[in-house]
Formats: sequence, C-alpha cells, structure tokens
Amino acid sequence: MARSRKHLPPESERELVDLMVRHVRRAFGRQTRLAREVKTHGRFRTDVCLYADGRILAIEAKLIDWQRALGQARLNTFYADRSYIALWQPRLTDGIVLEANKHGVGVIGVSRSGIAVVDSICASKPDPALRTRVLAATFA
Amino acid sequence: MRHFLAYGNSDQASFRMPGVQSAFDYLTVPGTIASYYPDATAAFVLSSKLDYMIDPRTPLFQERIDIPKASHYSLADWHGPAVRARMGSEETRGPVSFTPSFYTDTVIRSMVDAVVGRQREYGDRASGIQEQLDRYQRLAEAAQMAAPAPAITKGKRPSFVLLPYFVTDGEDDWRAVNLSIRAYGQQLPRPDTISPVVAVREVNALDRLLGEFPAGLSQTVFFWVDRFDERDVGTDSLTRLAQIVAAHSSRLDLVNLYGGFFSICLSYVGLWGFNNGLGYSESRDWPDLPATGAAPARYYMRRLHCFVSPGLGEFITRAAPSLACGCEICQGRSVVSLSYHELKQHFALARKWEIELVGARPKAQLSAELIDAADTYLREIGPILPAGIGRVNPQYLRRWASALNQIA
Repeated sequence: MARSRKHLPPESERELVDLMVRHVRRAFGRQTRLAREVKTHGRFRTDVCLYADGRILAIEAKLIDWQRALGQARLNTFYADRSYIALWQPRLTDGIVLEANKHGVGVIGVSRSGIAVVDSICASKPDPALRTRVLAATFA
Repeated sequence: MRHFLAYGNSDQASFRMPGVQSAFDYLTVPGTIASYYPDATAAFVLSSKLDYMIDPRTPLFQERIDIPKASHYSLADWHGPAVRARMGSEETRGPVSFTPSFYTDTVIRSMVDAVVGRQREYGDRASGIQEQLDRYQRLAEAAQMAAPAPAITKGKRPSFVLLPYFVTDGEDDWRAVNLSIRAYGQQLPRPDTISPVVAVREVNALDRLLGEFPAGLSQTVFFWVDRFDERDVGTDSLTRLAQIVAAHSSRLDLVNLYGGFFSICLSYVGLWGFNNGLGYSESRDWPDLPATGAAPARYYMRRLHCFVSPGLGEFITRAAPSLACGCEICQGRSVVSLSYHELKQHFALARKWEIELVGARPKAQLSAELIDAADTYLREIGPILPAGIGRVNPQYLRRWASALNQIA
C-alpha cells in the first residue's frame, strides 16, 4: 500500500526549508521577519534567519547530514541569539537533540503538518559587533 | 629575513595601511597585474614609494594554454613580439602551445630584452600617468593621515630585476631554455643587477640548478618549488629544502617566491628572503589552476601558523585563549567581527610577529613552541569541536619541529 504523502520526506533541502518557512510564524510569532541565505561571517551563509521579539534566530537545515548542519549552527551562535538545526522530523533522534544541546544549538523537527521546536538550554553568546552588523544588513 | 609581500588587485586599501606597510620589506607586483592594469598598477606602486619588484610570471607561456585569459595577452606583450605573436588573436582566443623548441635564441633574446626592459623602465612610467599618480598619492596620504606631499614626477625603480624563467625538472628541455636565458642576461648591461629565477618541479632539482649560474648575474636568486605546500610536505622534503638553502646561502642571497612560516624558519640556515600574498600564495601549483576573484576571507592563527575560516578562528580563540592573537587589530575584538581588510591587516601583523619570533628564538626553543601549539590545539580544541566543522590537523607543526631539529 502506498505511503500517505504526509509521511514522504522532502525531495530536496530546498523543499525542507520551504516546509519549515511555511510554519515558522506559527511557532515564533506572527510578527516574525524572515530572510534566507544570510551572509554572516567569512564565506558562511545561514539558510534562514528570523527576527522575532528582538532576537535573531539562525537556522541551518539539512536533509541528510545533520552533523554538518550542527557544525554550521554552532558557528551561528557567534551572531545569533538562538541557533537551530532543522531536520526532517522522522529522522530526529534523542541523540541528535542531546548532541545539539551540548553545543548550545536547538533543534527544529520539520514535518508536512508543522514544526516542533526544542530550544537548547545553553544560551548563545553572540558577538555584539557582528550581531549588530548582521541585524543591520538583514532586517534594517 | 626579508619579507616580500605580493600585491593583488583587491589589496590596494590594505597595502595603504601603515600597519601593513610596516610588515614587509618589498612589494611584489605580479607581472599579470602590472601588464593587465598597467596605469592603475603603476600609479599605485609608484605613489606608494615602497621598494618593489615585478615577477614576470613567464611560466604562463609554458606548454599548452587551452583557454587563454585576457591577462595572457597583456602579459605576452611584456614578453616581447615573438611571444605575443604566438598567442594569436585576442578576439578568437584559441588554444596555444609553447614548447621548448619555440624558444629559439632569437625568441629568447627578444623576450629577455622585453622583460628586463619593462622592469628597468617601470619607474619612468610616472611621467605618463600623472593624473592617476596624483589621485593614488592622495589616497595613500589619506590612509596614513599624512600631510600632502609634493607631486611624484619620477618613480622609483624596482629593487630587483628578474629574468624570465620556466619550470623545469632539471632534466627536461626547459632547463636548456633557462640556461640560454641566463647566458643572454649575462651579456646585457649591468648584469649584476639582474636576478635569475629557478623554478623546479621537485625540491631535489633545486640543489643542482642553483649551482649552474653564469658569473656576473646578481647574487640575489629567487626560487620556486612547485606544489611545495609547507603544511603538506613531509619532514624529508622540509629537511632537504633546508639542506639546499644551507649549502648555497653562503654565496647566494636566496629568496623563496612562495613560502610561509617554515620559510621564515629557514633563516636559521641562511634563507635571505621569502614571498607570499596578503593572506594567500604560500605555495603555488604549476600549471596554474583556473581561479578568479579576490582571495577568500580567512583568519590567520598566528600560533598555529595556519589559515582558518573566521568562524573556526572565533571558536578556537574563545575556547583556547592562549592561541589568540594580541595584535593591534585583534586586541579587544572578536575574530568574526573583523572586516575583510582587517583580516588582511591582521595577517600582515601576524607575519611580522612570526619573523620577529624566529629572530628572537633559538631553534630548539622555537621547535618546542611549535609542538606546544600543536598539543594545545589537540587538547583544548579537538575534543570540543563539532564534527561538522572543518578542522586543523596540526601535525605539520610537529613536522616543522622535526625538520628544525634535524638541520644544523
């Protein structure tokens, strides 16, 4: 029997990001502002940046390589108030959430019907100068 | 140890900064840039009042060029009418090949005359570009907060004049072409002001080729070992290079055209100078890989003597403050907040710090410090770095330490 479409994983990272973006305002507030492919430091670009309640939230989305997403998300803590990795919900494990938490990174599980957000208990320590620069360049 | 710092087209603003200017002895101007942006480069170089030299980059006319770039044609002009004619039409840009047999005695004479002449007359370019010269002079004065000086009407000549050169393995026909180039160079007026360049495919060939210069040419000799990345090559190659420099440095002032921190360490065995770019070009592959645009923004970790992404640099300096930099650019600043030009200024200051470090340290102490830096990284950074971040493998520091311990 064919699987229901709602369980089908996205075919691409872009689709994963599109699904997540569709639901972010429900999770982070209707006034949330959003930017994609945000240039931050060096050659890094963050997949999605949100600006909500005076905070910058950085999200790295990956369909497969969650460790790579975590590495990039860890570096996003240098400018963002909260940093997340976004993964396809059925592929999320407790081990991934624990590992992300260890690095001060939260996890967003993405499904076709919504997103589930798990914040890290460790707060980011963004560099004030870089945070201001990204904020001005992205959301001013 | 003399530091030659190569100029890239995106580096102008950085090169005007007093901190950067204090960090090197000679500005190296790639022939590709000098010929492709002739007036702007001459105005920049001559208004800077810096000591400089021009690298003719002759190996761009060696073997096959499948898709010539526009800069090939302008540099070919600098290499004389025969080389330019061989390049063919710039409009069609067809593939072209330069074999050793193309470089007959007639072609070599025309090429050497052109390349040496372009360098010797470079200071005279000031008279034809007064407007640009004035503009660049004002920019330099503004960057250095200096009072307006009288207009520059006569440019400085290069400190070194380089002969054309080709990459050789020491056995091939290109070796003979190089010998003919030097033989003709020896016949030019004031040959003692003309420097030979030795470019070799492999380090062992350097030893023999450094021994076959004709009398009369300058004793300042530039060399380039193809693909000699100091962080990648083994201890044997590092030690061999040190032995060769030691063997020839009593009669030649040797300058490594592409080197990094290990080249600074070769001052222990008499290396006279080394060259690199402002944050790049510590080694060079021949033939050139196609690359365009400015060098990427990278942070130089001065105690690890390597480049990392600014993000990784921030990670390392937060987690291991003993690996942080205390230069005037970095003090009180985070790595990720540094702008592109600040990253370059930091690199220049870090290089100056490295030269002073080697000058002040006995070899054994420096060797111990390299091992300590590797240990610090492995102990304090290795275990906490998330798997998804590109990491430093500091084993090169141990290889450098080992090579230093082996050289007399």
